[in-house]
Amino acid sequence: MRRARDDRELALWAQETLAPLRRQMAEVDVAGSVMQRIAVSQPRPVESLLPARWQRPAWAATLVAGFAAFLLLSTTAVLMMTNGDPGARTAMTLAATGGSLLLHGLTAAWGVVKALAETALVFGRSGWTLLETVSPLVRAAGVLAAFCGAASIGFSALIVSRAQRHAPLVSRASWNTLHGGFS
Amino acid sequence: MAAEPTDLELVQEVLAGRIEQFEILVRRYQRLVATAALRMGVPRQEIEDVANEVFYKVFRSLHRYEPSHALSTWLYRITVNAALDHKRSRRHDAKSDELSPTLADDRPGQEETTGDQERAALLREALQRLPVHYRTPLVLTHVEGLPIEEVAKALDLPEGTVKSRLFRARAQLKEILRRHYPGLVPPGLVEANS
Repeated sequence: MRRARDDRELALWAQETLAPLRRQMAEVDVAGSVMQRIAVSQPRPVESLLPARWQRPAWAATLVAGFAAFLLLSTTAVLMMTNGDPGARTAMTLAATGGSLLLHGLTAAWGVVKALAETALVFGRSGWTLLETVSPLVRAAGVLAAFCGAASIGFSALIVSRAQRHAPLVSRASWNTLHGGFS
Repeated sequence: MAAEPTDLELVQEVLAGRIEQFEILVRRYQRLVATAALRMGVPRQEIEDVANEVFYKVFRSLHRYEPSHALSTWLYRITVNAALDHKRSRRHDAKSDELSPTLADDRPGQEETTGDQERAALLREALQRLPVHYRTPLVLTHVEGLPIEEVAKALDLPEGTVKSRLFRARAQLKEILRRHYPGLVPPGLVEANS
């Protein structure tokens, strides 16, 4: 209650004391400079060299020219191969050699992967067999440990009960006499 | 006559790519930002730089604006941080002006009287003696006039923390004024609160 009242009084005091700061105002006009700064930071669009009305025809012409160039190149290559051009023949021989090398390489790589996988499988099987052999022993050790634990608890309980039975009885009065304890 | 677009509509338009709409937001809030910066202790001649920085930061992080908060609350938050950054960099530049806002620093506003201006300058000086985490909620509450929940949102603090900081800030300010600026305590409140 008191703290709430103090708080209210203090708030009123601060409100009154800081009044001159509340009457302070500042006027700035930063809109232009901010917008300029933003404009500078924006990525500029790539300007086209052509006027807008030529851009569509230019795009279509580029597509047609590209397709024509591809057609010319592929026709030339087919003609060279069918007419037995030595350059084309060499290229085909090189391509065939490359292909057979690739095939052999892939076969060899597959062999290596297969051998590795087989080795890993053998190791895995051996490990599994070992685990199967050892598991009865592990189980037996676990049972033995549990039995020992239970025996230890039983023995401790026996010792404690015997100690309680044979301990001398001490009354509150004699305890106070001996140790000067509670009155 | 068409109604003025709301802050949220303007924000959405700017985010959709109509960047020029941001100018309306700047014009709408530049006075609030400049005044808040002044009251946070930024000298008048540097307020324009701080306001520029605040609006540029706002533009760059506009996609993070949460419409559940008022735009002004978010602006207060960015202005407070910018004012504190500005103070830190100034202190780094010239260590001599720890309590720098002097009378010569501040040209009076049109509506300020000389006495008021002197008192305001001394109050700003006194406020600089408070730790930042006490000064900020005190200024936002008692100078900017924000309610506690707005202050809590602006400072990203729980309302309870703001209240306890306000209590300590007021008590510390009172002690500072009593010791160093006894003339600033309002006459009717000297005996009642001493």
